[in-house]
Amino acid sequence: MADVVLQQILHTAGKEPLSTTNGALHTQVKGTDGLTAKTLKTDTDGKLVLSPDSGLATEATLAAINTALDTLNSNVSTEAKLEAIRVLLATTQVNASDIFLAIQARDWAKDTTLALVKAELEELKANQLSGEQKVQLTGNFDTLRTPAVGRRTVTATAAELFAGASRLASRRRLVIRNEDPVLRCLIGPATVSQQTGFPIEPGAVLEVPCDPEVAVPVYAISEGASLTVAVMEI
Amino acid sequence: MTYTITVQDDGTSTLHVTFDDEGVDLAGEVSIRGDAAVAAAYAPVLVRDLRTNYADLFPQPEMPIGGEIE
Repeated sequence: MADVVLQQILHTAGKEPLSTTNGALHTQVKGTDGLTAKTLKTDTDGKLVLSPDSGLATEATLAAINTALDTLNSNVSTEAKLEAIRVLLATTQVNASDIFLAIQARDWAKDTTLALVKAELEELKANQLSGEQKVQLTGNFDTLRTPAVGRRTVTATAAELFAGASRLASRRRLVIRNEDPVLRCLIGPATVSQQTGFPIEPGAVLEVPCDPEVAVPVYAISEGASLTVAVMEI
Repeated sequence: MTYTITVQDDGTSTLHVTFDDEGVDLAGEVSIRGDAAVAAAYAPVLVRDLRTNYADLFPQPEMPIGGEIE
C-alpha cells in the first residue's frame, strides 16, 4: 500500500495542491521507498485512471478473464448433454445385460464333464506314448505278418480250404496254387460243385483278397480224383 | 488221433481232429459240405494233410541199426 503524502495531491491545472474546490485530479502517488510513483488521475469522462503498471487489472486482463469464463461456461455439461450421457449409459447397460444373459443361457460344460474330457485326453496321450493306441489301417498288410503255408488234399467232397490246421484268423489274403498237372480245382462257397465252382487250372495260382474283419470260408472241390493244392494265408 | 463231428444247420459239418492221444499238441478243424458220414469219410484226408504239414510235431520213426541187406 502506497503512502500518500500531503502536498502530493495536486490539481491538474497549475499543479497546485488539491484544495476543497472541485476539479480534475492528476496525482502521483509515491511508495514507501519515496521513489516509486504511480499516476492517479481522472479522464475527460471523470473516470478514475491508474497508471498501467499499478498492478491492478486492466480492461484487457478483465476481457481475457471474461473470455475464459465464457469458455468455461460453454464447457460445462448442459441438461441435454447429461441426458445424452444417461441414454448412452442405459444402452450400455442393456447391451451388458444381453451379453450376460447370452453367457448365462449358453450350455457351458460342467466341471464333471470337463473332468471326463480331461481324463479321456490323458488316456489318449498315455496310449499314444505307450504305443497301445488302436488304429485301423488300410492298404496292403501282406508283409506285416507271418504267412501260414501248407498243402491240402482236395477231393470230390467240398471242404473248406486253408493252409494250416484251421482257417487263419483275420485272414487278409488267400493264395491257392493247383499243383496237379491235369485236374482242375474248383473253389466257391459251401455249395460249390464241380459244375458251379470257379476253376483253378493245373499249375495256376489264384489270389483271393479277404476282409480281416469278416471270416469267409472258401470251399474247394476236385473235378475228379484227389489233387493237391499249395495254400498260403496272410 | 481222435475226431469229433458237429453237424450244422446249413448243410455242413464241422470236423474237429486232435492228436492229444499221441502226445502231440495239434488240433485241426475243417468245415465240410455234407452230413456226419461225409465228414467221417473226409477225416482221413484231413489227418493225412495235418501229419504232412506239421510233420515236425510228430515223432519220426527210428531207423533200425545194424542188420544185413539181402
